[in-house]
Amino acid sequence: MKNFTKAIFLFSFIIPTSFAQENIWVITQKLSSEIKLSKQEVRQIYLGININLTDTITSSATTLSSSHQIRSIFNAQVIGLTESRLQSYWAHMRFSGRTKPPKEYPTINSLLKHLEATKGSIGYVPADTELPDNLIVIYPEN
Amino acid sequence: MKIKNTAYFYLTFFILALLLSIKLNAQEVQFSGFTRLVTGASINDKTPYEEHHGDFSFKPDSLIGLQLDVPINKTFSATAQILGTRDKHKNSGLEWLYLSYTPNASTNIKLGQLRTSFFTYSDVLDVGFAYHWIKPPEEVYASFFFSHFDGINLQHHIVNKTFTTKIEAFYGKFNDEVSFSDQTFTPDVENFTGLVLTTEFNALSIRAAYSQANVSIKDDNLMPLITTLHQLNQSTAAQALLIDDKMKYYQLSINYDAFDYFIKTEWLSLKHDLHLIGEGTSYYISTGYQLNDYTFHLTYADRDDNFSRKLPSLSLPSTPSLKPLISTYNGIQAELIEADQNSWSLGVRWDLKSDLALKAELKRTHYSFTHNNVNVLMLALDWVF
Repeated sequence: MKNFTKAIFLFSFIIPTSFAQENIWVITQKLSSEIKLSKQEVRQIYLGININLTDTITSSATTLSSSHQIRSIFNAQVIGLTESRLQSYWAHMRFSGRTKPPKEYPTINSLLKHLEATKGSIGYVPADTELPDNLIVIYPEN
Repeated sequence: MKIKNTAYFYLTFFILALLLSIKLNAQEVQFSGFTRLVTGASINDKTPYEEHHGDFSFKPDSLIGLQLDVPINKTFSATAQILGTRDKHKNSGLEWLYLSYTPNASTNIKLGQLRTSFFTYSDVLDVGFAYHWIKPPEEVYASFFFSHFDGINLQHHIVNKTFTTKIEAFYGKFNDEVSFSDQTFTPDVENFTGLVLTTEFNALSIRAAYSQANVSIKDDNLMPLITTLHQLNQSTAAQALLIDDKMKYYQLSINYDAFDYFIKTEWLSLKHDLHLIGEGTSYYISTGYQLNDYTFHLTYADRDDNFSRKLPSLSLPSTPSLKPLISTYNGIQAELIEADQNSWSLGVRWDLKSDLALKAELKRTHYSFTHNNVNVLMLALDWVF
């Protein structure tokens, strides 16, 4: 039993720990009021539930393509699901008429360009990425 | 293929919406679909498992579904989903056909022909890619006997810093063919109403649902007997043979979805005052661990049926002319078998690509009535596009 517990503990933390080395920023365009999102809120936005960022602006998630390593890190750190389980989740959402997966961008540059031009769009980049002037970090909160 | 008359109304509506969308704006029409090839065979004995015998037939569970999503404007969209299957328990044809209205980020209203959402996976039962099993445990999911309804569905989300609450309510009716226990019925389901509450806190998700419906099933085989019992002033007995009552479903599921492992449980209770259909409770507990592209999973499921209402005794003399009738009536009670069963299943899902999964599952089911164990090996290929 002791070995079993040890194995479960080990398996549960190996992959997230390896992904935890690089931090992630969740970013969007500057808004009329300052906004910070919790991990729960970011997770929900990326699972297809949009929220009101201001009275007139609604969130809209964008993501990197599935082959991008930053996406794997974001999946592990923020969403908490592997890519294949996310794909399974999206099949459930799409074919039950609930919601659709975020629009994908192949590179961080193309994602940044989209965010610069689209109010309410949310994306993620490696922490310490040099951001265009009109983009701000909304997660993590500190 | 069977498409109901009422569906023509929705189909016309859908085509109009489609034309309107093309005329009013050039938003992209999305076409998607899912397909699955499923085969299986009972092993180590000659007892067939559902439709699967020893020949690894692909016929019973293989299917294809196509979905068309048409954005009309920022708040309205239309969706149609059709299903093609050779499963005798399902009808090919229209599964979804609805108009969706999203007035704000947190609210969605659908109107049309919709999938039922009794359980966690009942609205995607045909989309094998959406779950880890080849088939969700039949101990729970076989209780569900109609897959779609005509009506309205309201969904609302409340997201805050620490948790999310999802509220879903629906109302409608169902009047189409269903197959159950190798017989085909056309139940008349009115006032199908339900409320689903889901709360999510990080990886933990708790879903509680209540559904009820006035269900009326006319069994042509029993109608002559019912008529005769009425003529013999045996109204209580005749009434007991009718399937016409409010059915109530209670569902609770608790899921914990961590990064690379999960624990899922689901419990169901069916309540009604009918004599010919069993009440019952059922549940499953399933756990899985993902290693790279492989998800290994183990599930235990249990179903406990209960015929608590015995058919009332006949107050008829046992004359030679009435003996066959009394014997037929008493024979019905003897045929009401409590279908208690439980099963263990061990399986693996291999995500070959982001849209393609290969599954293998070994399942051992114990049927209490026959004291029989059936071992089944199943294989499936699930693809979404």
